[in-house]
Amino acid sequence: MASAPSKLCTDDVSLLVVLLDTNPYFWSTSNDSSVSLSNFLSHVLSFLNSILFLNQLNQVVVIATGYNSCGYIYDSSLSSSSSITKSSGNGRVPAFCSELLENLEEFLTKDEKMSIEESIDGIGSSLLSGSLSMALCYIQRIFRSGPLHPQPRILCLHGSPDGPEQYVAVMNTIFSAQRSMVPIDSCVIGAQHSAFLQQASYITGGVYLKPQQLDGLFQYLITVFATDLHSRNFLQLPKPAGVDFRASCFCHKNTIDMGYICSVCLSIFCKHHKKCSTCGSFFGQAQSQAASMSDQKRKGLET
Amino acid sequence: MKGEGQKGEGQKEAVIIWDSGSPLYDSFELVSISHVIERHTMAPSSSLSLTAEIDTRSSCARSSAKMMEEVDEVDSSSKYIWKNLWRSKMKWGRIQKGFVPVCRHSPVSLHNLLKVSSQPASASTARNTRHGGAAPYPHRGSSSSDLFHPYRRPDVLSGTARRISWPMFCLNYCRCLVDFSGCHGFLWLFSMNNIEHREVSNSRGRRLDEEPEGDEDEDEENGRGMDAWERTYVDDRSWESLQEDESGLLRPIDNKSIYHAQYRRRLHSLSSAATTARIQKGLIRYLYVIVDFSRAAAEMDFRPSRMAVIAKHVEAFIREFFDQNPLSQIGLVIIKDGIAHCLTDLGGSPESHIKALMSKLECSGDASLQNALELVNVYLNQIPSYGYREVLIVYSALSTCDPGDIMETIQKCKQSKMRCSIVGLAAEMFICQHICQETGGLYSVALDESHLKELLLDHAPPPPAIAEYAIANLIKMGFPQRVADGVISICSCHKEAKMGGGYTCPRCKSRVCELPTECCICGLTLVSSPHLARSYHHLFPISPFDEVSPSHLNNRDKKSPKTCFGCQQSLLNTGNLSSYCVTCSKCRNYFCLDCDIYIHENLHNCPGCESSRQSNSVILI
Ligand SMILES: [Zn+2]
Ligand SMILES: [Zn+2]
Ligand SMILES: [Zn+2]
Ligand SMILES: [Zn+2]
Ligand SMILES: [Zn+2]
Ligand SMILES: [Zn+2]
Repeated sequence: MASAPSKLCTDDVSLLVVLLDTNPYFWSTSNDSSVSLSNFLSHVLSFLNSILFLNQLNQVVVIATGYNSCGYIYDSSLSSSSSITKSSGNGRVPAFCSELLENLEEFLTKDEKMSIEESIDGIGSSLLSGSLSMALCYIQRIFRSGPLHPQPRILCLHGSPDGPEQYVAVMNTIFSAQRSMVPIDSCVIGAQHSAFLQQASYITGGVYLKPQQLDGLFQYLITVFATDLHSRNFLQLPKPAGVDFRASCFCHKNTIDMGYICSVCLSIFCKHHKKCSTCGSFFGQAQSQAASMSDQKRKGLET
Repeated sequence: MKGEGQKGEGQKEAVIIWDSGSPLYDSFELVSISHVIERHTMAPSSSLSLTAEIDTRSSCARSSAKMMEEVDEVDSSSKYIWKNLWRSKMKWGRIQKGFVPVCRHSPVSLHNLLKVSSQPASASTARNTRHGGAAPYPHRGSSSSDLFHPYRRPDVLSGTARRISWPMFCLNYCRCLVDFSGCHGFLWLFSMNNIEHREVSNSRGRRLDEEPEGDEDEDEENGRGMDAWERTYVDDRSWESLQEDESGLLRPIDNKSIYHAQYRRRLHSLSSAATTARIQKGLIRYLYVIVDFSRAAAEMDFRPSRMAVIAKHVEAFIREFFDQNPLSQIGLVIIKDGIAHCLTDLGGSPESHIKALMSKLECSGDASLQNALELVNVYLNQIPSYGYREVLIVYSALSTCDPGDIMETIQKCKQSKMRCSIVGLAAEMFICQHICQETGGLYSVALDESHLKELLLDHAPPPPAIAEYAIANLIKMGFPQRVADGVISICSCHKEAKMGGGYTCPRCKSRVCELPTECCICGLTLVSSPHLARSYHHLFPISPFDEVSPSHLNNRDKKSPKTCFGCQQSLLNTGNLSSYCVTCSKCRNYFCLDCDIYIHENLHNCPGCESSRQSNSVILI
């Protein structure tokens, strides 16, 4: 069990929490691109296997980010250490892989049953905020376990586009991770960049990567995401090219450069409104007058 | 403090225990106690020379003059003990019932002792020097085991001593302790704890047999193998981790369950305050922190001094404030020598405030509330109308020394919609109460250091918005883009050429180094969306989870999960100390207590609600 060897943990022992995107709409539409779910899983499983072999005490937890739910599908501390090395019946895959795949299949059927909509337009977003929250709860438990615990980090393998409705929740998890000094690494396997994960990796000091060639996903994973936090200090990992810190307005979800902020609730609007749609405050003064007045006052304060 | 009747009971009870023939003075116990005392260099070695003297002396028939002399003699070593043992007189109440007053002095001489010890420290040190030979400090290695000969026991029980009222004895206890006879008292204290603990463990065993799921505390204690005093004596405040249960027995405080109970109480009070469906908070705050560094801040009732404690916790408060209110600003004002002066102007950088505060740690003169309020009022009248004007005063003094009528100033503050809150360190004062009442603030007085910290941090989350205090407004803000690496440009804030980093103002395209800030060229407020998002959890709080009793958890059908939804920790684990778990009223998932605290205090997301699409759609904006 994990509790016994945890006494021996040093700075290169890691706890890797992997968030797998299992959004069925994403995987069904991504057939035309280069990677399929089974292909993707074989890359990821080899990667997890190598993580477990890098250090005997390394721990891997896999959480599935589904479309309707999220769930733990693998925890290396719960399975005996022999199952990691031992091969299962047919002698081709390690036992832990078959365990993970079984759980994943179970999760996918359950996730599908929970679906209420018949079909959705587009890909739809998976519940990133939920799986991130679960990962952080798990990591807090590791922190509570004692002064010597493995160094935790989160790796998001994400393909679905961002769900704007999750914005507040995802930001909450990012700030919580930042306070607990847990880096969130992200590897985007979808078509577009993910603004959520860009911000998550930037704020928490993780690595954001969007591989060019998904055929070589294993190689990307092993070169960029396999190193423990201590060794990262000595490596040249991909730098964030440009993080999009622009906000999107609450009214149209447009990305804006300049906007109006409700002074009561800090909601963002792209143009002037009479009433705040979030908190219900009425804005008395005309916009131009208010803006110039506050500018004046601010200038007065500065001088 | 307990009433007289309770005190009497406590005494009687303790005496019964004493007389019940418990092996209080068996050799093992004596050795272990003397070991404990030696380990902490408690043995007042200066008294060793007195051993013979005291043995021959009759205990109650000493002249008070001789008494005084003896007290003087031991004064320096008593200081040592003050420092090491009796750090917090606040907590002494807890051990009241734990020991019988065992001083060989009559009550009269104890009164004398009280008088002596209530004199200022400077006076007693002066007396020490006058007498010339101050007693040497106690040192390690002196064989103190011979101090505890069993034959002194009858003295210990001398009837007169028991008539002394408890608190007085406690407060002066260390004086008696240094006086050689007090060693009995010390010995007694620990012996009593030991007895009581033994009793506790007996009753626990019985109760556990009767009902396997006894109350929480019982289970908690079971997990600890060591004796209470053995376990906690490693730090020198072991008695603080003891508390009385309903039958007057001592038991270790269970920190975890207390912490959780406290947290739940706070959570419920917060959620009941926010009854409206749409929560309005004053998120853009302009707060002046007024720190009282008058003479009173040099008092030593908080260790090492009020000033140091205030500085430490104001620093923590400033950091927490900016974490929770990223768009708000703080200014620092110090009261000293009857006047108030501004240490830092309103600003958004925690480091500059903390640096300024730490460089000005000295105190003198009187405190003036009026001067401070007048000064702050002038500054706060300049801020934009949408901002919330707030003042937080950390006040040590018990008086205010004002040049004019403070009531007028209070009315002025009320008119300019300043919300004044005061955290007192000494005692409650009418004028403070009045200020807070008039301006809608909170007044609280700290009992001890941890309470002070709690009270200060209570002011970090944004207060509920009061519509008339600030006019809701739309503020124009810019969301600058990060400058790509390797681009050299001159920043407008430091007027320096810098490579990479920094942000570009979307209106005038000038460059600034840090966010949030105001563009120096065009005056636009520049923020990044994460800064705004940091405050959003105040607007979409998660409701408190409902408690689930362990019996309910056991009765649930086999299909329901037995692990915490968040962290996968087993909820049925018998080794797990806390036997309760909680459930979210929205998603019906079960969480352990640790996750409960983490989710509400830090994460502000329910993992269960977030990982189900149905409930997720409910909390959409
Ligand atoms: Zn809009
Ligand atoms: Zn609003
Ligand atoms: Zn600059
Ligand atoms: Zn500008
Ligand atoms: Zn939990
Ligand atoms: Zn929930």
